[in-house]
Order: sequence, then structure tokens, then C-alpha cells
Amino acid sequence: MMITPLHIVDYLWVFPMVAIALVVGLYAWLKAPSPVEREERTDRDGPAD
Amino acid sequence: MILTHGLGDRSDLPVPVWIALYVAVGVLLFSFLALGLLWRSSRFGTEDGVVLPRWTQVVVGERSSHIAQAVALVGAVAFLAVAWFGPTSVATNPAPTWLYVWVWVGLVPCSLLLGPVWRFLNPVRALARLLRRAVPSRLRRSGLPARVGRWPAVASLGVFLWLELVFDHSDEPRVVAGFVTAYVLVHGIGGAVAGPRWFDAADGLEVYSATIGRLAPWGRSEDGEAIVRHPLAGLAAMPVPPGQIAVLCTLLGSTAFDGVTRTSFWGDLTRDLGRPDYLITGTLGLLAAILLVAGAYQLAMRATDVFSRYADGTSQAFAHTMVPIIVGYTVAHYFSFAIFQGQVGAILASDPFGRGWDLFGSAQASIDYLVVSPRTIAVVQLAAVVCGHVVGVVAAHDRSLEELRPRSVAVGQLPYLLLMVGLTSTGLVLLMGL
Repeated sequence: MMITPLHIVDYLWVFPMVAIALVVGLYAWLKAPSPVEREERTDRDGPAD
Repeated sequence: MILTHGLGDRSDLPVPVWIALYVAVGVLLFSFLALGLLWRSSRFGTEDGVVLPRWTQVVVGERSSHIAQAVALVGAVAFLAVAWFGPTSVATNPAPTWLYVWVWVGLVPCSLLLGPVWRFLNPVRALARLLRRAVPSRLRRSGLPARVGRWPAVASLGVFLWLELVFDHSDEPRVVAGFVTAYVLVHGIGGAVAGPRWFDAADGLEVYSATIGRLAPWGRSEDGEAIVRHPLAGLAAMPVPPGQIAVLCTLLGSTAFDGVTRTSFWGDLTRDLGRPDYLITGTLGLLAAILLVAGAYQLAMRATDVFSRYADGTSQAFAHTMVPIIVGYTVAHYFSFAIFQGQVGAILASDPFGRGWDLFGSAQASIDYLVVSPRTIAVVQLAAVVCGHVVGVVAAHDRSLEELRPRSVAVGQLPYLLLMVGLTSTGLVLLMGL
């Protein structure tokens, strides 16, 4: 079985996107509130299909 | 061996992948920012709409549905006759095209425009009504237990998708005949014993159609009257019984797997495999794609839970936002396939039993490849994926306003936004068939 090797140069455009994702993820993680009491949900049953 | 979806093969002129990706991600980010600034209160909390006139209620009423199902049952018998007794080759027998293109792919635009059409004309419902008369009353049930939810439909869809995407003889008329016969028997007997609610829980085609139909401008009020409504209000009111998230992940994951099978990576991986190894690899690949989608969704929802108002998590609350994404991918994947291969169903219908007939005058016709240009196909594909995700982001933003704590509405959507960026990127990369 021969698997064609990946040419990393062809995929350099991926890295800015990954970098943005990491920054956004880090920001969301830092802004996450500390655990607090949450509400109990009331009824959410919609009509049947 | 090369896996294809049930029938034939297709390839479209690609646009450069990285440009398509950056445009798509840019559109997503722009939508997210614009929504955060301009859309400050939830608009789709209720599924209110305008009640349609009386004649429309009759047209879409139960009696019309029973007539449509009876007509469809006659059609199903004709289909099975062609599949069982017509030519043995897919090149001359129209049944595989009717199943994989007309019914399976056609269900998406029909449900999107008209609502849950398969429920309206499901021929197996008519068969089940007939059979139910023969079922002794002590054996009759009224639906399946509520905790079962839509898990039987997941199994039903899984079997169909395995046949379509993994099984290497899926395009043979007799295979199609065997599958449809088994499908009709299982659901006919199930529906006869458990009653019409069987189909809401167990019939993969019906659940698929009802799920996509949530995006239709038509729906039913709580009183059962046909109404015209905002498609996103219908979507927001989608019920999420147990198994519904699995239905969505199965649909999305299988489309992703279909993309994977067209990559050179998959071609290299499976080229030299013998038949058993190939079937095992395909089955594992399909399962892995579905589990990856489910894992990514649950991961994003676990992260969103941190910002939720409620104690019981967010995964059910955001499930409906996957529907437009599924529609986008499905349109993108199957648009050209439906346009070109769909013609074969009409061409071969003139001589379904291979006896030299020309019932509709189309026996000598051939596929018209000039109906749409490769450029149109590429634009439709890109637009479908991007629009699907943008509608998903809009639906998620609207739900966030109810679901997340007021101070965390923007930041709480970031995990979902990352999921969208990831799905769009993966989807486009697979679509372009790297």
C-alpha cells in the first residue's frame, strides 16, 4: 500500500486559522464564569413533528 | 476499489480550496459579529404562524394523505417489480436511480420546500394500516416507549447509509430490491403492531424528512392546523426526543464520510484491500465519521454549558442548529449528482423491464451534461455550505439569547462558533476532494 505523502507547503494556509481558533478558545476559557447555581428548566416540549 | 454513493461517480471543477475556506470562515465571523451587535432579543421562541385557508387544510389533511399513501403504495409495488424483475444491470434498470437519487436525494429539496412530505405520502403507512386489521388486539401497541425516542430511526438510517456508502454492490437492482423489500416488511409489520407512531420513531426516511421539514415555511400549529410560519421559528421548535441528536450526527457524519471516500487518501488506503477488509474498513470509517461529528458537537456543547443559565446542559437546546448545516452539505454533495444521474431515472423509465419498450419516448435519450455548467455547480456547492452554516449561526445566536446567561451571550457562543469554523473548513476540504 502506498500513501501519497502530504506536501506541507500546500497546507500553510491552515495555520493562521488554527492560530485564530486557539486565541478564541483561550479567550472563551479565560472569560468563563466561576461555577454558580443554575436555574431548573421548566417545560420545553414543542409540538410533535 | 472505489466507494461511491450508491451509484456512478462525479467530480466537479474545484475552486482553490484555501480561498473558498477563508471566504467561508470570513462570512461566518462577520455573521457572528453582526448578530451580536444587532440581534438583541430572541425572535423564534414561539412557532406562531398564519393559519392557511380551509381548502389548504383539506389538501394537506389526513384523508388526502391516506389517498396519497395508497397511490404511493401502488408506485412502491411497481418499483419493486422493476427492481426484482427488470434488467440486472444498473445501466439498464432504473430502480437504483429511483431509490438513491429520486427518493433519497429528492427528499431533501421536497422536505425543505413542503415540510415533512414523506410522512404525507409514505406508502408503508398505507400497508401498515391494511396489516393492522389482521393483528390480534392483544398484540397491538400504541407507539414505542418514550425513552426509545428516535433511536430506531438511527438504526434505520444507519443501515441505509451503510448500504449506500459502504456496500460495494449497492447499485445492483437485486440488492436494491432486497433492501427495499426488507425495509417495507420491517416497517409495515412494525407499523401494524405499534400503530402509526412507529413511523415517527423508527422510519429513517420519515425522521429525515421531518427533520429537514422543520426548515420549511409550512408547519402545523398545536391544534394541528396547517400554518405558514418563519422557517427559523419552525426550526427552533424542533422536538429533541432521545436519539434525535444521534439522527443529526449520523446524517452529518455520513455526508462527511462520503467526502472522505473521494479523497486520494482513502483511495490509497483501500485500493489493494480484499473484499472483507474493504467492507470492514468502510464500516469503521463510516462509524468513525459519525462519532467524530458527535464528539465535536458534544465537546462544543460541554464548553457552552459553562455559560448556560440552566443546570441540565445545552446539547439539546442547540441540536436544531445542525439541521441547516446538514441541508447545506447535502445540497453541496448531491447537487450535480441529482442533476445528472437523476436524468437516468427518467431515461430508463421508458423501458423498465428491458423489453424494448418506449413508454415515455425517452428510451433513446442520453444524459444532458449541459444543464448546468461546472462553474454553477462549484458556486452552488460553496453557497450551500456557507449558507447552511450562517443559518446555523443565526439559529444558535437566537437560542443563546434564551439559553445563556445575559452577561455571557457573546462569549458563550465562541465554542459553537469554533465548531462552525471547524465544520465549514472540514466540509469544504472534503467537498473539494483533496
